[in-house]
Amino acid sequence: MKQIRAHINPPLRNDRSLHLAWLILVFFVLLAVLAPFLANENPIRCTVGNETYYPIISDINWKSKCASGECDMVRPMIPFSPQTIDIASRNLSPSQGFGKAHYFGTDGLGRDVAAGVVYGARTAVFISFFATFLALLFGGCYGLVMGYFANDRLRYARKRLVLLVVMTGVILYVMAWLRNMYQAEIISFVSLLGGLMMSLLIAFFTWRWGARRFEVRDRSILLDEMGMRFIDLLQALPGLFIILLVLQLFDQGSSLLLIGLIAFLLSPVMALHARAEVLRHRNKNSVRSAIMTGKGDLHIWRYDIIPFMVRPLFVTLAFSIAGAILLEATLSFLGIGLAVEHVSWGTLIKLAQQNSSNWWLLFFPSACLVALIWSVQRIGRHIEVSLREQSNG
Amino acid sequence: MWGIPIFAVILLLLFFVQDLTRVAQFEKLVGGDLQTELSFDEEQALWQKISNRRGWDLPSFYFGFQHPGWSDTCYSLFPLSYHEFVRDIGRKTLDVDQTIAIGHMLLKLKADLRGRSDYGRLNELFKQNNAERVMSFIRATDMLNPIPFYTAAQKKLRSSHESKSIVSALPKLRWSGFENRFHFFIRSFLTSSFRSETDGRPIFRKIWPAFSITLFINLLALVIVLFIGVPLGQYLYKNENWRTRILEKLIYVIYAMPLFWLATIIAINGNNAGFLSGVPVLKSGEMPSIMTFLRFENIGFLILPVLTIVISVLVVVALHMKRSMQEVAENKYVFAARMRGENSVDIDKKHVRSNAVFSIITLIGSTLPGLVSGSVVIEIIFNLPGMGRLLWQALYDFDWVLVFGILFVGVVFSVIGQLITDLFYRKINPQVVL
Repeated sequence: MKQIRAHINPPLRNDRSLHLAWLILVFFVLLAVLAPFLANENPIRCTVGNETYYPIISDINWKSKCASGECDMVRPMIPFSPQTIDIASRNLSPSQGFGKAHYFGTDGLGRDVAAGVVYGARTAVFISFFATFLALLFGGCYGLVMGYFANDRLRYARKRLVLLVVMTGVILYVMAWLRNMYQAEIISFVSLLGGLMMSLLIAFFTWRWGARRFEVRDRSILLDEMGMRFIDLLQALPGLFIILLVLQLFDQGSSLLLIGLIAFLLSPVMALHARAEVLRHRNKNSVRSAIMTGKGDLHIWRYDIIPFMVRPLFVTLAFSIAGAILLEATLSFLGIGLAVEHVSWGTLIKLAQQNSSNWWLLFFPSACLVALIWSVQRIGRHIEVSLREQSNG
Repeated sequence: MWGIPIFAVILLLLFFVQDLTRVAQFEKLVGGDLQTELSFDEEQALWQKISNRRGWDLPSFYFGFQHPGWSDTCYSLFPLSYHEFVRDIGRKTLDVDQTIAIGHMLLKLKADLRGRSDYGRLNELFKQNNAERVMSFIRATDMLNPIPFYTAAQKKLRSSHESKSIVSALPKLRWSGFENRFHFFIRSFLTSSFRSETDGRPIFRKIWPAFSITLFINLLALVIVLFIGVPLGQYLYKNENWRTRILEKLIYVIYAMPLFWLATIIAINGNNAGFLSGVPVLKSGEMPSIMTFLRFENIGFLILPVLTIVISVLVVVALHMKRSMQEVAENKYVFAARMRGENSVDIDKKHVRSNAVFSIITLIGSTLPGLVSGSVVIEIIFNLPGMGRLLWQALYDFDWVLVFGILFVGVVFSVIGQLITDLFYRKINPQVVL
């Protein structure tokens, strides 16, 4: 853990803008995690008589309880949810609204801008982090396996391929049969997923089996070569066009779909970088000596390859996070990203664009957006630069 | 050579999207929400008419597994929105005739029950695609007097459910020949002679003017960027004082600004009494048709979009130029030139800059495809009738031929851009072998 921490955060030096970048990042992550406790129309705690309620966690009707008697309340810093409509105070500027706890002003419907900004941070941070994590998981594993085994070990005999296709057909048939017999809805999902998983397993075992029993060098399929062509193919497709195609036609507003799409777009780059890193390390002397002393692949990955991949991958990771935040905001701005209930900085900017005389509607979300993207990019640049200095000696 | 699989993948993707959005397309063709406005017979008639023309009443692929309670005729007998519901009945009865009878009966019953107070709940149950739950709901609430054929159907469903053997549940491997949706889509695509489905005009006649606008904006912006960005990077490399330090920080902040945000700010400034108020901007709602837009007097409308692209690409180019000059300056031949006593201006010009420009050319080549798809945002914010707008409209109209054409042009353009970059690179650096 200590090692990884050293990788993420190389010695800071006396760099004020880097300190600022880390501060901004930590601030927004905290904002994202604590959003319901910072901006909520429900009080954190309210005491009526001898009883104490926590309406922010438990779903109780605190308004009726407090209406009857005296009520001692502790409210969040911003006592409004992003959807709360405060009809009495519409179009308040920050200076007008400060006394009424509308610190960043309100929009034309009376919704609080500060609450929107806080929940927008939640959306931006969660979606971009999850999407990048998924992309790292898929792309990183893909790059690791493809780069490490490469064409000399990553082969698949043609006979096995025929077997695999036949077995997949048989498995899907059995699954369809099971589905007909027990008409549970879950079976349909299990049949697809389970069928694919089982065929993958069969592919794996037949691959090992074939490699041990006889030489399959000639007459086999080069998986690394095919994988690279596949990534070329993914990168040749114009990304935003694909997003438009998928998001305009399927159930818009599903955040899972958005995360999946962003991860799908980011993972080829991640895979290429991971593969390039592995290729740099796989012919090292330490790896060779580990092979000579009979260490397994997992051991080599753990001790000779992955520790050296972490820091270069963090550069890619930082820029991917920035790209994911950007993409999410752009899609929300275009109105095809998230549903209206999810507050996002992109949607806030879109609403502000229609009412451009109120500067505070545009200023706060866009300042946050630029600050977060800037901080992530700054950290990424710092890791990149320190890496280059290190390699130069 | 690699273009062929890419186009195959695009075509496949289009088929999947087309196939999965049939409900939405059908609703758009009919106009309105189906389940609330039309009776079952009307909907079925419309479905048979439209699906026959579009090939939607065919099985999905050349072969597939099929359970015994479903046959290819069911595709045309039932409207698409009820296919899953009828499939569910089929899985219970495992007999096609019974499935069709019970399905028709339940759907007609549903049409008859419209207007009752419980109809909303019933509709929800139908959407869950569970026949048994629908039946028990109908029986539990006295929505209708016991109708003989209804109770008979329920008995039948139950008895078939009980008597079903393991063997009868075996899926059939079905070979449906060339009469399937996939084949129909590809065939209709190839025989459409690439005419738009909405107005019948050839797609390239629609794409070309839109593409010329997009290309014009992007190329103009790129040329301007090259003329400003490269000297700016050089300036940042040569000077190290408080001015360049502040300028660099500013550039990094602009680098973090999203394109759509920059465009929004600039468009707002053009619309209102901002500092750009003299420049003409197309207001939302006054989107011109493409043919009236392609005139010389409209060139003023392109100023702000070009400005936006220039700002967003300029910072990338300037920073890249600075960094690559720094990297080149570390080389030994630069050191040797300095030792020979060459003029420092000459060193920067001859040795550093001319070698640093190579990576700028690669950068421009790699941003070219991104610019074309990135201009979707620009065109939407500035209301320009370019490629991005066209794609947006084509997707909204479910005009698959046009969508394919736009994707085709996009891919071809990025490939050609890459090729030109390579050739240009070869021209200025003869060491490179293509």
